[in-house]
Amino acid sequence: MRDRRALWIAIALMTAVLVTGYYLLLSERDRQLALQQTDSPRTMDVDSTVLESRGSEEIQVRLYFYNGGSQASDSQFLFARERTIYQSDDPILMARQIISELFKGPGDDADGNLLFPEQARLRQLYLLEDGTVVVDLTYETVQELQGIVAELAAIRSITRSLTDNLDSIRRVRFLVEGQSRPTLAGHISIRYPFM
Amino acid sequence: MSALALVLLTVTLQVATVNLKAQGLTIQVGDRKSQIGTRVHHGEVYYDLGDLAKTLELSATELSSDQIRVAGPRGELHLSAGRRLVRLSDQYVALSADIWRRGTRDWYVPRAFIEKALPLLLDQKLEFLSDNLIRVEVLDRNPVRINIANYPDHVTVVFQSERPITPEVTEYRQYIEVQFSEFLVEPRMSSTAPDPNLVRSVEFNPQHAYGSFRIVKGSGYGIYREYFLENPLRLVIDIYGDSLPDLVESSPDSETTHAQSAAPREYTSEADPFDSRIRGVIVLDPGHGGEDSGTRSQGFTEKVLALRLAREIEAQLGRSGHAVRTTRSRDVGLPLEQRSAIANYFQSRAFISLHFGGAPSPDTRGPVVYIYSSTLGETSGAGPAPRPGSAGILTDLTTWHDGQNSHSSRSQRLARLLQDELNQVFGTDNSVSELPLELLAPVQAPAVVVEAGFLTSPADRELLASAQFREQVAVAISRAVERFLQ
Repeated sequence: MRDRRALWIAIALMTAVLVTGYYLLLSERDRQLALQQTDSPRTMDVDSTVLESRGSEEIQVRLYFYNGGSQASDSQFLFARERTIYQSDDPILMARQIISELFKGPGDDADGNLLFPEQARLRQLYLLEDGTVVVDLTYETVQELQGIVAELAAIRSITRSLTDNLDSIRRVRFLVEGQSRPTLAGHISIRYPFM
Repeated sequence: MSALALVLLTVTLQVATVNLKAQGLTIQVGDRKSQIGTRVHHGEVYYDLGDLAKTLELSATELSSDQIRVAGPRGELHLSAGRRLVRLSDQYVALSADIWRRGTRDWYVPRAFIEKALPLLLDQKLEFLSDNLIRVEVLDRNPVRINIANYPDHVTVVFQSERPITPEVTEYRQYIEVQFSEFLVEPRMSSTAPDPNLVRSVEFNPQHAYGSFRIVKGSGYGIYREYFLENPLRLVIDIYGDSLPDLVESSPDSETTHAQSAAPREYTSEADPFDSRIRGVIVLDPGHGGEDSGTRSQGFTEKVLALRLAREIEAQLGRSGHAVRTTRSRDVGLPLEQRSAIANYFQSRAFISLHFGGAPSPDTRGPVVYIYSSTLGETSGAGPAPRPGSAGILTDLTTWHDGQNSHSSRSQRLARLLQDELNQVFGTDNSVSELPLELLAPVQAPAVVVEAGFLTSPADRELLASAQFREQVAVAISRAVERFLQ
């Protein structure tokens, strides 16, 4: 009698494990499929959606974009535009929103100066204790940066937009696809952080 | 309990497999992205042949239960299940893993198949951007007309390309190969047969990624020389017998842009730029090359223009008696540190990297000369943070990335001379810019990067379209270098 009871318990346990395992397998597959169907995680849109749903207040930030026609030696290499993002105590959430806004370009009359392609994505963003923010971009973000001026514009606009708006960010370091590289697109050294 | 452990292990393994699969492979054709099914088999990642064929528009026909044929615009591949040799006409391509037929219908191929065998079928270029992303670049066609003329002492073969491509010429024991790049070559062969004593045949070789030509040597072959003519752009190859005429003195045509005559085979060989007897030369560095085209805009390609400009400057400085070396003399990619290393190897008197600019705005124009600086040179903006420097630690050694530090004032002088000369040619008043350029940092010589106009600027493109203007640019650069060396 006891043997039979033990057997039933064993069968019930096995069934439970199998059902749980199968459920895990299916849900993981669905998750991976959903991830695959998205080109890459649009972290920035997620950030603003989350902050909006929390009822966060909006805040004006000053973003810097490439000033068409200017050379690296020009003092007016960048121009500023005001944008609205959601306020957060977490500087990482703020920084990600700022980069997302930069990727969209200056808009209106400066449309011709669109620096980043539509596929531009931020892979990840880390803030180190010394105030260095590590901006990890996808390959697609930098592959169309043709020439020294375009590369410089990308570095300067991201660095200045982050350091000017967020007190906790003092320096900006760049990675591409999670890797440290000598340059973003073949010219300007990104071995050391910018400030 | 052991049954329970087994079940748990199975579930874990399955989830792990799903994760491996999920790394997947995406093929991007134009704006369209397609996912290729992946599976792990015997520890190797395999890709669904059906998905590949559909995405790349190949036809896959099963010939028997263990054989399948994949046909593309350039040929057919025969695959056998469980084998790692893939047949293309009478050649075999060896893969690192077997072809896998899963169940009764699905065929799977290892990564090596995509990298080694697929490009042989396609008239498109596969660019491996990362482990999981391949971009398919649809190649435009480039009709290339071949003309053959027989002379008493030589045979002339002329390659006239419709696109402004500088082909690469390489000599092999049996033949001379002329390789085109960027576009898919459409051959228009000559109806004239060459003198069989010097040239057995001129053949088109479709197996090369873009298409190449082979000039098969005859029994009386002795030497060849190559040069370019412009308007339209033509590559001319003259093939001589054993007795070589006087090639050194004469230039074959007043239009010749690169008089190859002084050293007919020099830039077909990458072997001897490192001649240890030569010291203190001027090193020219044509930017980009190979897979890295640099800026591309409206049919202008930076790597091609940079190489042509380097050849013109090399010829001009050479005529003034200067020893000149180039970091590359054909369409080949070189890492930045290798270019800097070549400058240092020759203990250069001057290092000039030749580029053409690109900017996000068509209004950005004119020539710009760059020199190295450890800062970005803007007073109110982003600049590199202080480096974890070596000052005070190494007193008698210079670290690789500090090579340029002791040459900055002479680099500045060279840059100003170049900027002034180029501004005059372009009619601009641009200034020298200082940036932390990775290429220049290690160079232990006066070193500059010259961007001779912006290919993204319609005004600059219009100027650079003219061969005469490009020659003026070469003259301006040569003149500035000579003034610097005086």
